[in-house]
Amino acid sequence: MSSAHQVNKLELIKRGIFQENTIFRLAISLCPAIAVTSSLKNGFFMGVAVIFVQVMVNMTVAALKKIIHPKIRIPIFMLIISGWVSVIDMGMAAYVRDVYRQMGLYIQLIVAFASILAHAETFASKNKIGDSMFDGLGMGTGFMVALVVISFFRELLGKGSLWGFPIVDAKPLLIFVLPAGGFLATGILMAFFNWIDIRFYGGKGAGGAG
Amino acid sequence: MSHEQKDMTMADIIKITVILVVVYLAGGVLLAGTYSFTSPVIFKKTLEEKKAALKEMIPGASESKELFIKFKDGVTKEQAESIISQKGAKAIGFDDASGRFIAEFQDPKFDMAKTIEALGLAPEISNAAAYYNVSEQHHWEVVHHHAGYYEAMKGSEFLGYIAETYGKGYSSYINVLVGTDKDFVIQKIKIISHAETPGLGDEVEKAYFKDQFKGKTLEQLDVVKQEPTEKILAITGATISSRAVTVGVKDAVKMLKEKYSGAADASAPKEGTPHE
Repeated sequence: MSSAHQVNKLELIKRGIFQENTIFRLAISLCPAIAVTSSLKNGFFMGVAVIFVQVMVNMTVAALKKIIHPKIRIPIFMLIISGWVSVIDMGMAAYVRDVYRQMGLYIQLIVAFASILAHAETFASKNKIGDSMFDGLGMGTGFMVALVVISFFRELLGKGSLWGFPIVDAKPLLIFVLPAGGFLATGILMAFFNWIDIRFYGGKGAGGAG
Repeated sequence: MSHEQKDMTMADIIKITVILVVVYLAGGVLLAGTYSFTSPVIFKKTLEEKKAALKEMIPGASESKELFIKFKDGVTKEQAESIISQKGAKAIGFDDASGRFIAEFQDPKFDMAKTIEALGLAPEISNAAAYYNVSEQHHWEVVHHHAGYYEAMKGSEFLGYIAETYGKGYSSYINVLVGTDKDFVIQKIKIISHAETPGLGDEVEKAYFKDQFKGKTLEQLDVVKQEPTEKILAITGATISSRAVTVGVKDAVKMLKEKYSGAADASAPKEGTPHE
């Protein structure tokens, strides 16, 4: 039984990273994703923050699913999301100030993420706490991978640097740091991942979304 | 899932209301608890950071105080150092020519006269005058925020002003410290806190933006979008945040000028000196 569960959980994580990748597959939460991916560092920290919040929200929703009446589920999900975001925000501001100085701005943005609510609604409210945790972990990791990949190219092309360290002494294509370039980069990468999917996996990885 | 088909009964409505109230109350209690634990810590740490930031604003000025103490003949260097360190101070130097020790006191509220007396060396202490100081805080209001401003001294020499200010940005109030020399020429700005968009507005923290302010006067504090410029060049994609910082700084310099240049000697503080 335990081994069967193991596969199941790995599958959940894989799904969040590949088949149901928030950015490249579902194409939701694009607005904050594009706002923060102008540098690799921003993309990475945003990803970490999202993993954290999604896991906590998923577990709380799964734990409370019995008492959440379907008619009022959205306001309760919103309370859980904003509650966790506030708790994490205040906790980090008080006890890990160095990290907070890096991540504080991203934490507060997460309240407005469609993807967090989507996973609370479609997965956590129907599944066990453990599974929900892995779903959150998978979704968060997939989100982080997408942000890191996008921001890698945007920072390199737009600023000629990586993680703030200069690589080439020029700003080759400034447009990539700007919002328009964010959409361009995301679109090109999305097409690239679709191509890999179709070329090597016969389009199955898309989970029907293509 | 019968709720989908039928109209809600009174019992359903009451049940939903109770659940909603209970969950929200629990959420409120959780948040209040977290707040009560974290807010004193946050307040303390923010204050410490602001203090540390103040010291950086004007080179040469700091909150610690220095005393020059001359001991009687026959008191050895070691004895003198041990006496000084007993009084919560640190001997940081010895001037061979005059035979005076230089002692540093970290406590900004340090009472010089009392300490000299307590050292039991009152007649032998001389020149207990030179110290660096960011003076007591004065208060002013900017965009509905309470902020402070300071006169920076090094001994009796007047170095300049430091003002805290706020600018209304895209998604937050940007808290900035401005350091000027005595002619209100900006020496340095420092962003204390803000919640602008990561990747766009938070660029105001970067050196290439902040360094533009060095050497600027009140008249030059406007945001423009094109080089070459004598003014402040906006950050691409973050014009509102750039403008917020600039307007905040401008307000601060304007306020300092109004408060201080009315005095007879425009370059010195108007109201009493910050010395004991």
